[in-house]
Amino acid sequence: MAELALGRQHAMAESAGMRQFAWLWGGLFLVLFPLLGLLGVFMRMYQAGWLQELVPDPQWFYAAMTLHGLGLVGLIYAASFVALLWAVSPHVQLQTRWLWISTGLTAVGVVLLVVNFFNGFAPGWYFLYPLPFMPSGAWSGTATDIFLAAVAVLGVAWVIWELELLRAIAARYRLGVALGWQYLRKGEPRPEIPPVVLVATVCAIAGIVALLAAVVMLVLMLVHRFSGSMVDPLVVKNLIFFFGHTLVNLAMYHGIGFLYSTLPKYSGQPWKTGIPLVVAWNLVLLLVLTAYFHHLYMDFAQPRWVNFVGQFASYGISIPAAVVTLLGTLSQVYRRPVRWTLASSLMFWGTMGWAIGGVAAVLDSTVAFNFRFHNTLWVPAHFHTYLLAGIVFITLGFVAHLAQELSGKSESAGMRRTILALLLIGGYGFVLMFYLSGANGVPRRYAIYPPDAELGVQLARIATFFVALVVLGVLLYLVTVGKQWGAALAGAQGSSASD
Amino acid sequence: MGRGIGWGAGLLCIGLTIASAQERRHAAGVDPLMPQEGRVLYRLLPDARLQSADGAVQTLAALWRETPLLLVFAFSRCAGVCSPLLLQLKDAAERVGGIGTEYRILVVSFDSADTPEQLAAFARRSGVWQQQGWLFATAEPDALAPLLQTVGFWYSPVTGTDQYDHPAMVLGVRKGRIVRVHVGALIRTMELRAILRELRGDPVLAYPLPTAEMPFRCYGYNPETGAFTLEWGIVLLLAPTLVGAVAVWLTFAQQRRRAERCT
Repeated sequence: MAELALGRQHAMAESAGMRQFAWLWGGLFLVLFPLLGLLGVFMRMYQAGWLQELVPDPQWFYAAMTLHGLGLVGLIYAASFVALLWAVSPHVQLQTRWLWISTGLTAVGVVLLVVNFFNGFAPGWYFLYPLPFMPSGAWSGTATDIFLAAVAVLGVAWVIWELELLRAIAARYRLGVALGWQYLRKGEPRPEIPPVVLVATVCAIAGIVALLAAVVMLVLMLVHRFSGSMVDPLVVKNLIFFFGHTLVNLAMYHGIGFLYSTLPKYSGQPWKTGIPLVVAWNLVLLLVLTAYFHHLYMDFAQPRWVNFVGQFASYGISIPAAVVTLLGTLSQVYRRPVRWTLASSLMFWGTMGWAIGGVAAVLDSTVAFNFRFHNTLWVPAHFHTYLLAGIVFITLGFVAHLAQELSGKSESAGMRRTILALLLIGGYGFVLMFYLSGANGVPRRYAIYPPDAELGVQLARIATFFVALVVLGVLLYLVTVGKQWGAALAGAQGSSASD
Repeated sequence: MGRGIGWGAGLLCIGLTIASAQERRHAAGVDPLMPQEGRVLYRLLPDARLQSADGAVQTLAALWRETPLLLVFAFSRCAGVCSPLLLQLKDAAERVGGIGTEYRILVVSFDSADTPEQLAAFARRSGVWQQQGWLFATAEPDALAPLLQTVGFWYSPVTGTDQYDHPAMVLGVRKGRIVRVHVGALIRTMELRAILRELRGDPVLAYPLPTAEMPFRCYGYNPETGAFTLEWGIVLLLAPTLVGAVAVWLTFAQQRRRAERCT
């Protein structure tokens, strides 16, 4: 009896810890997302030709590109992971001390990356080897060392929380059960599992493998750093995308896990696990680790069969999971009395953004298209669609959901519609300029467009207008959700004082 | 304690930033007086009437329409960086080849006092007089100023002498636009080759290609047969999945044992 009471006390303490943890990460997202996003605004304005006199050294464009990419990919991965943890925490018992340790280490890694921005570190978010070691005077050897330290710290931080998630799942479910294999047998599935547990299991397993790829990549880079001799750039490129592409995919899947668990709270319809969901997510686990080959179509030294694996794995991870999620989402809202709030609206539109960006991604993962689009702005177009209009919307939805849940306050319908209109028109207008640029062959990763790509300058100018709408939308979002966030903090302080 | 760690981390970050910035400045040789490529890249050159050292008159646009150009600014009495730069360029151009057919080197005097005769003497001293692909010219004063401003070139008289202080720079010009700016008197063969690739519109390699001796290769390729072979580096690509699978299995097995002990 006493053990039961202690267990209950422990569970309550962990639940309170989880609330604090989610609250902190929500706040971090509210601060860091606008700051890192502004670097993107700077980049588009630079490409529009408006800042070249003010900032004559294009090195700052590339440094901004590096921090914008690395910072936002890392932030979105981490914040969406917290959303997944929040969603899965009613079903498994997480030990928040490990999550806090990860958070502390993540903070150290982020600070190191920010320091490196001021050091001019600019090899791009994909930091393709051997570029970090061959800066031609653009950044120092110390900057490369700081970057390697940042990757090591972030790698350790994220392995810790992926392992903690896996441990928590393993403490309650067998591996086959967590992956939903009981649904594939005849008869009633026993035990039933919530969809978020299935997604969390897939994400944790794939996340651990991806982070191990980062470890191998880091070791190879350290071999270069300390021996001074080059290792095979093709191996390192494979490992970078093994880790990087998988991590970006996982960020989206974290958001989907949160969606499965939270959208039903607004629609009133339970989202249950079934055979299509189990097949789709097991397929994701099987194929997500090989889809990254589509980043290497242009590397002629890769054997041709690897390219075929990349193409079909890309189809295999995106189409089934997207179809079951889209159909599920639409069936949740179609002719249902959905409680539309900022949170539920952002979750819904984020899922649609994932689907739209996913179509562009599937096109780009097709060898015949990739041959034309690979080094054009089509690539930033598709990943900005499923990141900005996809997982960022879902994460903003998570933070809004959290703020409402913790503060008990909600926003006005007018404000909700205004924010959504600004984010949707601005967001899709912004990515449309990328798509048009890509379709017209405007190259990516150019601070200053060459004369052959003059169209890129015109489209960057139009894109900046749409970006301004996004900025306005985010500002209104910050004011609205920030108030709820503050009320939640005041409430928490008040209750701790009365305790 | 926590505050102390925070302060320590903050100071460490500031120290790292300063140390790294100084190292970078030292490595890059950053000098505010040096022309910056980013400031002028892809600018269209304004046209200018030029008088060659052999007396012929033509326009700058007519020259770049015929072939890509390497544009150099100098003056005939230069006792400083001009001659070393031209000698380096001559030496590198001879090694690389293609001068006169693929591109030409146009040396424009920025000194309005220079005459075609003085420039011809300057070209002779530099060992390139009437060499194929080399042109020395003066520009009309009205056209010279906008040209220098467009390319980011500056000069100032050195008091008490007939000399000018100015940077050494070579501009790659394709279809009238600046596609590359090389700054400094030293121009190595490798650097000239990269500029010429840029002039042709070819990709410029940023790092050496892998060799057969390189460690951790994942694939071998025989260019004669076109055959691929798997090498030891492939193990590195499989290792994360294999180690990850073991880690997942161990985690579930350990938790299961723990659950069984509890029951």
